[in-house]
Amino acid sequence: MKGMKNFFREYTVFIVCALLMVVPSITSQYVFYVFERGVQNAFLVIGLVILIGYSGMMTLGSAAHLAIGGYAYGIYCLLGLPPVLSAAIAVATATLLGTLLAFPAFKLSGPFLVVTTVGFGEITRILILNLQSLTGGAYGLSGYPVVSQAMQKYLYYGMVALLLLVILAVRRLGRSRIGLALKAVRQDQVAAEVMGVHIKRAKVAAYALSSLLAGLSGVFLANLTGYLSPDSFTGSESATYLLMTVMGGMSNPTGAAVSSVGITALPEVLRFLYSSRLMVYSLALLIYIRVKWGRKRRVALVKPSAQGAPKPKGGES
Amino acid sequence: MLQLVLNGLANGVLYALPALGISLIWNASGQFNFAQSDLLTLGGYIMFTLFGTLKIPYVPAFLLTVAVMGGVGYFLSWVYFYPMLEARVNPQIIMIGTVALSVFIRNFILVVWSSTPQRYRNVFGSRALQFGELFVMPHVLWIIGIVAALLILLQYFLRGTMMGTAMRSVAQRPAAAWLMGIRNNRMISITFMMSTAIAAVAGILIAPINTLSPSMGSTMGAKVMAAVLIGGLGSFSGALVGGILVGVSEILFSAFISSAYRDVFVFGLLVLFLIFRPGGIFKADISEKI
Amino acid sequence: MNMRTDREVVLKLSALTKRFGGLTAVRELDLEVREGEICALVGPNGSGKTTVLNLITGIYPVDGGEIRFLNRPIQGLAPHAICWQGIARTFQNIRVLSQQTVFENVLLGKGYGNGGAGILRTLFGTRGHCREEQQNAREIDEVLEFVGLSNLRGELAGNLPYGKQRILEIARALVTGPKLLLLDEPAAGLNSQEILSLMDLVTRINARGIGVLLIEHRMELVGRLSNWVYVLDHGVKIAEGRFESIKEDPMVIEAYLGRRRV
Repeated sequence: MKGMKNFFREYTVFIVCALLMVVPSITSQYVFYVFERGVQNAFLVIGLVILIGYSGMMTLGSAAHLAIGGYAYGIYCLLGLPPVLSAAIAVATATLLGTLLAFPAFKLSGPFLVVTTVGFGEITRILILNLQSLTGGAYGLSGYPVVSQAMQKYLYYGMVALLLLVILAVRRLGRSRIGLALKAVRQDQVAAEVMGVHIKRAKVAAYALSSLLAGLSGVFLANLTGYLSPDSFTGSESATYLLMTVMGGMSNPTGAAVSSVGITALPEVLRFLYSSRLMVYSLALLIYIRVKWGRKRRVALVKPSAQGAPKPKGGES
Repeated sequence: MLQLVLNGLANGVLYALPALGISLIWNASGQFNFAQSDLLTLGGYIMFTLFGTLKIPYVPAFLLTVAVMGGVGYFLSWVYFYPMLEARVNPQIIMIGTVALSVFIRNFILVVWSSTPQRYRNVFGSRALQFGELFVMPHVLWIIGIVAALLILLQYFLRGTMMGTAMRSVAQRPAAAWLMGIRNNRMISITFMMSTAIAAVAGILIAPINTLSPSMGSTMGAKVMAAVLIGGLGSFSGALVGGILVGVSEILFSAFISSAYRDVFVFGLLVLFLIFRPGGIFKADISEKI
Repeated sequence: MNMRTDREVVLKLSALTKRFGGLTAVRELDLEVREGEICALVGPNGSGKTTVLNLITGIYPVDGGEIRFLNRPIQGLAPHAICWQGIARTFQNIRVLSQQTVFENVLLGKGYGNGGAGILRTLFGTRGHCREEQQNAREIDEVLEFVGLSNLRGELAGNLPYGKQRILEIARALVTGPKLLLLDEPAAGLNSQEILSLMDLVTRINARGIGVLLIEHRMELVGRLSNWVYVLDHGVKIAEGRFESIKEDPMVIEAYLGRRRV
């Protein structure tokens, strides 16, 4: 039984990617587009798995990293760089700017860190809105070269293949010493530091990897839509990506991919849900969290503290 | 100039109310509630329905809204927060839950009231009062007055009554309070009820300043959270001072420098605080015992 | 002192001082741990013993005095850097990662950022990375064997009984390859059987040439294990010497039992 379960855990990712591969040949043009968006979101959400699931550094600014990737691609292209080169530099830009967020994370944790990321997200959005000459402001950015309609299918195949590699790599990361260092950041930083874990370097690594994936996702987004607007990168979007991460099981990259494709595509299947989809998801998530973690009844309420009290539950590895 | 400061003050005390709610909840449960400003928005919309649509007179509608939202707060603590706290769930998970709650409320409003911004009649009158050189909108004075009265009342409740003392004891030493016969679950529920009710007051009063929109919780929420941390998480005066600081500086910045970048300024201020005084003005204790 | 002087000094604290607000938790403390010996730091509750460990391992900044390890000053270094120099510790209140397995907890002691475990090598799973992982696994299995936790290798640390978690912390500390091991009340909460095996383990660790600084409450344990004892009271060293002489010292008796009324 246990062997079966392990086998499943090991190989679901191949099944998922195989299923994603057949999507374009069996669906309509529009549903295909939705799946493309789902796969594109998956890159970002897997980045959040590293940041939130492994290292426990909550963020509500992920849409900003996505925006940086997308806008950087568009802007570099419009400046006259060839698309492939622009894509590469755009991902590098997103990684660099995203890694800057690791510095507040050295000192801050909990709500202090989250509010900082909210601030980062808002600042990015406002800058995009106001730097009109570069970003097109509220009108959005368009007119940069994108992958042509005929090539979209191959872009999709490429994305799914890359997704598979990313999932495998992130999974390996999770089992390695780096992954362990990141999980220690979440569970007990002081103990890890005393055991020789360079906490700051681990945090930089987490932010770098997650913003690299977000930037990549942004470049794909720019190519899929051909148009970028600041409205697609609000705090609400960040919250939605967070929901996808939790729905996928927090620290499971395969689950993250499934949940981002699922949550992106589901409203297309259940049309009546369309306008209220986020309401339904968030409620479902709330119930899920409540039922999964909050069931056990105890007598007294004691604030979880570092000293003596049993370790708080939650966030499996 | 003074006029701007007054406007900023009215703006700021409205940030202070949800900020205060966040601080109260933080003290009582060690949780950071991301949904506070969405609860504020919800309060505003309920008022819109009661007063704007159903034409219930202002004062009863006001009280009814506050009562309804207090009930919502009580309900939330009863179905979600208290059981989670009791099961000693990782605070991060509970925090993610409040983010989900915030998304839920935002989209609930979107579904029920649609995304078009709403506004209703400004009961305080729209003719500016003149004091010498100074022109002030009546609602500005009303807002400052009502919030001041509310804060005094709240301060009296927390410091001067048995119930308030019990609440503070639960915040400081839950186990000890429990052993002294205080019912923690009730205290926590009452804290949530109060925080939600005062957020609703802000949601009602904000109507003359801002139009209601479902995304208000996100745009305003970011600034409310900045105000909490600038003032000092968990501090009564901190929430007030932080809210006013954010409100006034925001108005002054947009009047004299640039309105487009005023939010950047607010978050810049927050970053400076987090770097140089991470506990906020009224220092919050963020150290961990080893 | 005569037997001590011929050994090399591993850790040397001179005039170490730490203040918390108005309270002086540690005052002008001088302390030495010599090569291959087991030193004990004893004292009543709240006398500043754990603070001394937190100062040595860099968790608290030092307010005055000096800490030298192998003749190099180490105060001001980050905790991980101090660990890389060769000081490992355990905690009074157990701090294992309860959601990771025993193996992973010990792997944590291999640290991060001290060479190896490069991001790119891990992501691409290069051959060098695999070899490194195998090497680590061998080392960890060896340590688990040594402390007697081999059979619990894949168990979640949080599911282990209290005593085993304490041993796990020691295993984790050993994997860092320490020259000096700081044990913070390792016997707290253990039953007499477990204490015996703990004493045996500490002796075997010491036999490998690893110096031990032991913080302990129980006098019988201190008497059996340590070659040299320091007594701390209210952050001040009130006595040092061999256990036999310490236990007769009137100052020590007073600190432990209170002032005799006349």
